[in-house]
Amino acid sequence: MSTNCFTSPVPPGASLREPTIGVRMVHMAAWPTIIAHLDLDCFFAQVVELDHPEYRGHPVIVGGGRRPDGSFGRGVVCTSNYLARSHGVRTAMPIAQAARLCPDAIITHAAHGRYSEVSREVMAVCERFTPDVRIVGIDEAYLGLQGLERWTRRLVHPDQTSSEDFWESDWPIEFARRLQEAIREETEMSASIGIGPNRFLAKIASGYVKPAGITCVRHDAAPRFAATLPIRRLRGVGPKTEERLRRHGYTHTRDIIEAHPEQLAADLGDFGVELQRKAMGLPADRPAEAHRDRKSISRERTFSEDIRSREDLVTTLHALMARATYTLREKGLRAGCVSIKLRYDDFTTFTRDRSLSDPAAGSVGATDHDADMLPIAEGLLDELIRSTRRRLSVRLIGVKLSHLAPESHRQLRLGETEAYDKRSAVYAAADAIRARHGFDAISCARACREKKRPSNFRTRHPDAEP
Amino acid sequence: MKAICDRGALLDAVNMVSGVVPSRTPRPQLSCIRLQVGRHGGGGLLTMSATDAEISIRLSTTQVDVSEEGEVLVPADKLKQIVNAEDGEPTLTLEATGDACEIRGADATFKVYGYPATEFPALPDVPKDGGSRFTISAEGFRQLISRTIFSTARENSRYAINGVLLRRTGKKLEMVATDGRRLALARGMAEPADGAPEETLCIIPTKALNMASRLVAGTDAPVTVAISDNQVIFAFEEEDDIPGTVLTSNLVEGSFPPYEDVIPKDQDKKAAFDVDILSSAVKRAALLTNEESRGVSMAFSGEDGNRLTLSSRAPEMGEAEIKVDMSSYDGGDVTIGFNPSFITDALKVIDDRNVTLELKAPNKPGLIRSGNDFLYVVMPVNLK
Repeated sequence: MSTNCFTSPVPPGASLREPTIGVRMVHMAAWPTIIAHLDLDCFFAQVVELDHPEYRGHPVIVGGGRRPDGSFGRGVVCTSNYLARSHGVRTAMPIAQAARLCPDAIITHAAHGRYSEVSREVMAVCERFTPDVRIVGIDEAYLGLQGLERWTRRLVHPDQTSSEDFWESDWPIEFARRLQEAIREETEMSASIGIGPNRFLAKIASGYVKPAGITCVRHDAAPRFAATLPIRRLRGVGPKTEERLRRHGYTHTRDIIEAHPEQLAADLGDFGVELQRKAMGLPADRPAEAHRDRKSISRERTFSEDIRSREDLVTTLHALMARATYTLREKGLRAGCVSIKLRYDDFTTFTRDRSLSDPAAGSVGATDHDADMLPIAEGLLDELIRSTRRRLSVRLIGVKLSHLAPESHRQLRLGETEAYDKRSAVYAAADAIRARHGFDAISCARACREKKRPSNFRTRHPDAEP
Repeated sequence: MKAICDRGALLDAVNMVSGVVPSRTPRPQLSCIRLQVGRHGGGGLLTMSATDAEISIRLSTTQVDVSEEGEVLVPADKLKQIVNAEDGEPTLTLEATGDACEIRGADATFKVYGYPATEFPALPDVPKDGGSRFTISAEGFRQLISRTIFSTARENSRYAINGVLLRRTGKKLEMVATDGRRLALARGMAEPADGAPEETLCIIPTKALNMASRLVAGTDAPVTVAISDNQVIFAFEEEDDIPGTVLTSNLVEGSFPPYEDVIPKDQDKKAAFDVDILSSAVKRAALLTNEESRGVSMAFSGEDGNRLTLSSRAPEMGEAEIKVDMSSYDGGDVTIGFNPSFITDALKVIDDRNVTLELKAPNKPGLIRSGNDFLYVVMPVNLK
């Protein structure tokens, strides 16, 4: 985290002056670390409203799409504006259900590429406010506020050094207010901002008051704030963990905060101790790495009509794999594990994975070649189809590459060195074309066949989940 | 059928025969061992057979008193567990009544339900002549197997390399195994039978060869190998008047990769080692490798008195460096990475003290040799 306030660029309307003499620096100690979490309110819906001002004042649902016959496909709600939410529409709800709940809703999508365009504009504003911006999704980012206090002060009162006591406690709120205003002025987007002594609490805080809220959790108030939260609000606690916590007698966040760390370690291991630290507003035990390593690359597709033939699934698998390996090579990584996911028409979901160093996978080892992974993925698909013993009727297929590592330590194969090098050259050439003319500019014949299915074009990047 | 059998001999036989019994099979008869009790010379003879429809085994013991001849099928797992558990007993009584078999110790009676012996598939007999037959010493056979079988592929996807290639040309015998990343080739001598063709070529499944290696470990009797179109038979010679064990197996169909093409001919760097020194160095360097970073870097240098520097590095774990002397080194400096277990696997099966490692470039195979009878090609790991 940067503590150098002099490197921060100047926001609009502010002028950089010499630091005022006599500034008290005690506030550093008052906030050991300070993080803001910025979350754009129902982002996709805001972008749609931005591009279609005529939709304002109407319920808007983003997602899905209609079939040529006018009926709803089987997409799900990406997001909806607050008006639609007041009718009970929720993210991830099937579009058809959302349409029943809110018949007047406008169901739409913004133009291709608009979301990332607006997102980039917002993040650019953030980057003018602090150099320490970590974008974690299309509509959210963490901002390090360490050392921005004097800068904030001069922003608001360029000529005054008085009322220091007020600033000691509240300058982060003023910072957030200014950021919120700048984002609204420049991009017309509404954002909620949470401030806390660590990322964990900052994120909870940003969701505390929405839309357009600012919530500041001071480090000394952190345990009290956290104690009021339902245990499920804590990041990393899902239904299974909640059950596990309950078994050990932790039903409220307060129980975790008040527990003795040794007891927590005995009950829950490192996870429990870490959870307590985070909830109490202490920085993570290990300093967060500047860029967290990507854990997996996934691509999945929901079909507008259930797929009943293995051949069609394999074709889509090829297309998804091509996208996943393209990203893999772009990042200079190799994958050591391939997983596939099938969701049947009744929403039961099956996954299967195989390590590439597994002898059953031919001990290929980590690779970034489609050709190495496709036979394994197809094998997994067949195993899955066989083991589920169901009538094949699939609404979603996904592929995931994990155990990612930088390209090194690849075991070469006998007599394959030249063939491998040739294949690498082919992928490199195809990737270069894609980088220049877009992904669909070139693809293998099998995956091409898939593109001709007009209704099946929706590819989701689960990595970029909001 | 009724017989009193020495427990030790029974246990050895059951353990060996169970190796062939399939763990899962749609035919319950195949999960059984066939017990046949008969007379042989002046005494009794207990013969056990098992098959998984691909491989079959038949072995006999004379440490048995027969009071009534007969045969029965007994589920292999129960028979094995019972004989194993009756560890205080010098002998056990086996008695079949109908399809059930009673196994009795001094204070215990087990009645195990089996099947009529007639439901067991017929096992192939050793052909007296014809086909390709040759004889090999137990020691020679043992060595051929141990020097190749570790390199076989363990997956099912490439069926032909899930076995060991056996090739006889006149009296010369060669066995080759590969998993696509390394290849082991061992040579030995065989005595062809009269009328055997000049050349024989077949692929023997790994499982059958594993069984053969267990059988050959306990005997010094020469082995006769008979190969027909789709089958190989290993017949161990009769010892001390006990009929020899017979192991048969279907051959692997398909063609073995053209292995001669991958044996490099133009290696221009040659390092000689004491086997123990190299093996110890590689094992120590391997301590700081992990799944993501499993290569050990080996830097060969002719300067400074033929020094090999091995190094390894595992992210978030640590790194190691080991320097050892080579007996000799001929060629320019080179640094190459190898999976350490691929090197130690080969060093384990070398009986000689000396071994040579020939190289060409960091992305070209390494070649390990020991004498004229063992050759091992190993592909490097890309260290970049």
